[in-house]
Amino acid sequence: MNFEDLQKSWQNQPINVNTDLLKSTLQTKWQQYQRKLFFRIILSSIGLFIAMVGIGWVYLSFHQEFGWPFTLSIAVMYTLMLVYVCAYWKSYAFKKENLGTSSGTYISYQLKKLNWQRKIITLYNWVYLALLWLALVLYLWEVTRSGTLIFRWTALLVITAYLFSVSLWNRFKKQKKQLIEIDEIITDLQHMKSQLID
Amino acid sequence: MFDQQELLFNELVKTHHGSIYRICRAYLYDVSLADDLYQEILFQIWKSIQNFKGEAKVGTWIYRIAVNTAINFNLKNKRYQHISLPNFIQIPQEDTLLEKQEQESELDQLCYCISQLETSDRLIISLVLEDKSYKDIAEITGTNINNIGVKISRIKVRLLKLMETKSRA
Repeated sequence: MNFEDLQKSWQNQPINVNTDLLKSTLQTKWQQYQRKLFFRIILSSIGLFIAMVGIGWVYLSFHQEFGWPFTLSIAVMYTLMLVYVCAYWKSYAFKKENLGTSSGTYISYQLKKLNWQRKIITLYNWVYLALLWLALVLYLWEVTRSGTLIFRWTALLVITAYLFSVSLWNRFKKQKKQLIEIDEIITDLQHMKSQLID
Repeated sequence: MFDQQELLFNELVKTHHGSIYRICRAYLYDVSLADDLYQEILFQIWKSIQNFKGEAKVGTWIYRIAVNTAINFNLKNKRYQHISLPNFIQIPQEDTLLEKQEQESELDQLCYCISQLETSDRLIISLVLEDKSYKDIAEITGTNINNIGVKISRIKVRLLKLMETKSRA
């Protein structure tokens, strides 16, 4: 047995796919992909716009009634949205991958993308959470100022406990699994890259 | 513009569909999964065709898309990775056993043995089996051209050894 025989047998293998049929399904798949992408962008832009206008309206309507914590809470909410948009935009930019590059370059790009996804979970989610907590606490502190001290502190404690427990549950249930998957893929890719390049 | 793209796509698929399909078969042992990968590669070629600027040869570009899509396909679907099954599991069902035994050929063994190689080796050998030159393989995979010869010789030896073991079994 030699390699040339294997090669010959390999190249003569029957090709059992109906390419014409596949090409027709490809058209549908492409349209679905574009529609999905379009709606995702449109819906998230509309959602963000409504949130920005809504928060702006709340500020303009009530800022004279409240003090600086109210203004600060609104500013934090806008910062929160800005952080979200930046993270979303960078994640979206990573989706535009170039498959026409060499595998070494492609794997490096995938590794960069995975490290970014990792950073979103390990860092940006906490930044987002801290900003959300700060915005809500400042807002609540101001809007409950006519209430008793016990009521104000209870409201703050409830919102803190809620955010803290939801984020902990998220981090140690859902995101833990995601992180394990990301780390496994990173290890596989690094191994493949070293096998290909070195 | 759209028609031009479609024409180019049809021509590319017509010329390279055999090679693309064989890359899928080399990368995935399971035929039905290889079919899914084949479809995904065609989709990625269609998606990327408007960005093709002719910096690389069309052939190299097509192979790069095929190989990179295969890498991505495996990552997204880790369960698809072929884990060598014990022989008794690979025995076909009784009613198809005779037919399968008759069909058992060098090609079946070759597919199985390729699936036993490391992922990166499977990619390289699929290009070697397509008669690609060292230079082309280096351009497609990004491997250093000075190392590619040694790497290919090592993979060939491993593959032939696996084939011999399988023939004896």
